[in-house]
Amino acid sequence: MFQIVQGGLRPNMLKPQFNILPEGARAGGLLPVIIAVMIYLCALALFAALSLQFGIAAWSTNLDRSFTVQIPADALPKEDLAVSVASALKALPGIASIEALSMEENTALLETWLGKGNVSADLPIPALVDVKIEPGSAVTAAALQEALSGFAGAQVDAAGTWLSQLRGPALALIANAYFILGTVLVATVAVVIFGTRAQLAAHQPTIQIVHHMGAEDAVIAKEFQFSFLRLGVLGGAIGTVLAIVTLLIIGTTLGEGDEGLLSIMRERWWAAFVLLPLPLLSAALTMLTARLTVFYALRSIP
Amino acid sequence: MPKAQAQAVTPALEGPHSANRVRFENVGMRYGLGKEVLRNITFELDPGSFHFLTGPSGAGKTSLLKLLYLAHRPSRGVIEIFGQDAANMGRKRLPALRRRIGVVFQDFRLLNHLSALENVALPLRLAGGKDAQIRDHVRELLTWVGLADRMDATPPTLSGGEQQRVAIARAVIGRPDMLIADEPTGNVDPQMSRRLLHLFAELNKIGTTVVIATHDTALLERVPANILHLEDGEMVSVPDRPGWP
Repeated sequence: MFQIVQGGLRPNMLKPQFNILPEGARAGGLLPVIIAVMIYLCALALFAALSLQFGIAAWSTNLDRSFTVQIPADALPKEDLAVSVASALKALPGIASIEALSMEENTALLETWLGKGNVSADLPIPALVDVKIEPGSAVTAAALQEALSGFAGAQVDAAGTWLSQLRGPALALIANAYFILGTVLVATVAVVIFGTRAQLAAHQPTIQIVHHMGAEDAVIAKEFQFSFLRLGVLGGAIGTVLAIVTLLIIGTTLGEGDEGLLSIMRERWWAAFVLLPLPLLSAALTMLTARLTVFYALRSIP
Repeated sequence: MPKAQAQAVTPALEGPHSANRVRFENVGMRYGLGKEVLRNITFELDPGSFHFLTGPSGAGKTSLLKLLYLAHRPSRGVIEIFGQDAANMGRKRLPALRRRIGVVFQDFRLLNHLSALENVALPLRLAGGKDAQIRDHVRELLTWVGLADRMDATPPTLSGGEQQRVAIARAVIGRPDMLIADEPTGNVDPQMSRRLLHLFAELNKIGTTVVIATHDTALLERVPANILHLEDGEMVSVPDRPGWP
């Protein structure tokens, strides 16, 4: 009997309402798998780029206004000196907060690098004073150093100095992540074009018949674009789920001691859920690519 | 047998019928960069006229039909279909013109995955017809061509004659302004051949221009019609000898 396979949509929007192409001969096979792999790689690259971007931005916000005053390990009593330094700087205008770190806190910082329990008592550890200035304050490292002229050996380090050294490689990594994302997207588009062309070639006689009966290009394109839409949703969903699982595993298994750029990703593993709309984007990309490929191919038929 | 020769080219028709006129003037056609397979083709089909296209194999009948059903562009000349310049028309406007033309291909060109009913319904679907109307019309027509019990069959399960009747039903279901048929009675028995000719004649009576390419001399004897005769890619006068084409 007459089968209306796409009923329920607006009248005359999808003409003809039965499928022009045989149902079993539509795009499929390994294409969803390839799309899934592509979207998986896209998701990882996108997550890496975004988390690095947000991480660097957060570091910049926090550390651009941070200074560290270092009191030599041989200065005695260095912890008292640290408290005096903090008192001296507190009087300056534009200072938001000052904290003299205890020796336990200093040891904990070193243990990040040397391992817990590996910081021996005879290790010369300087005393540290953490200084944060108010947003927009004109206080500079030189001004702080000048204010500490009475404290022999006290040295002011601006966090922004080493942050700027880190920012370059981080931005390069972000750029690389976006480049990988772009490359994978281009590859995805190429795969869909290849798949669409294969389908067009396989069904050329049918397409020519319908074309000569007066089917608009859009009607023929719809046959393909909805087929590829399904593939895009399926492949996109599989790829995204796999990517989220991967990121969740990374987020939960990276040790607390791991630092550096990976720690940015670890701290933002929950942001993996930002990837949830990817199947929709994948569907839109595959559908649009298939549609444009069909339109382009049909131009060769008078 | 009245053998009215194709009319000479006349200035553009005025009045209500000019919109459905078909006119070829000095038309040439070639495939790719090859030599012209049709040369200096000039004729005019009045709305509601009936024509046979004759000529030996290789004379260019199929190529001329391709130009008529807008499957190919001419290499030169003027083609006016239903009063519109089809030779230079943009691609986007061609589908609407094609939907006014019904074509019966020699090899039927049915869609094998669709039933006979769906194949015949296809032109109405493409024209945006309503489901109920389409179903009723298609059933009625398939019954008329003797396929009432074969509506749900797919083309591979139909005989050659049945496929041909489905192809003809598909071509006429939309009451086209022009019907083009390539050897439409080649695979059917004499009785069905008469029925199909009757169908073409009935369509012709309600204003459809009919062009039938055929080798069947019996067909030419039975139907009073104009004759377009091709010889080696050119339109020539109808030979006046028995047994042609």
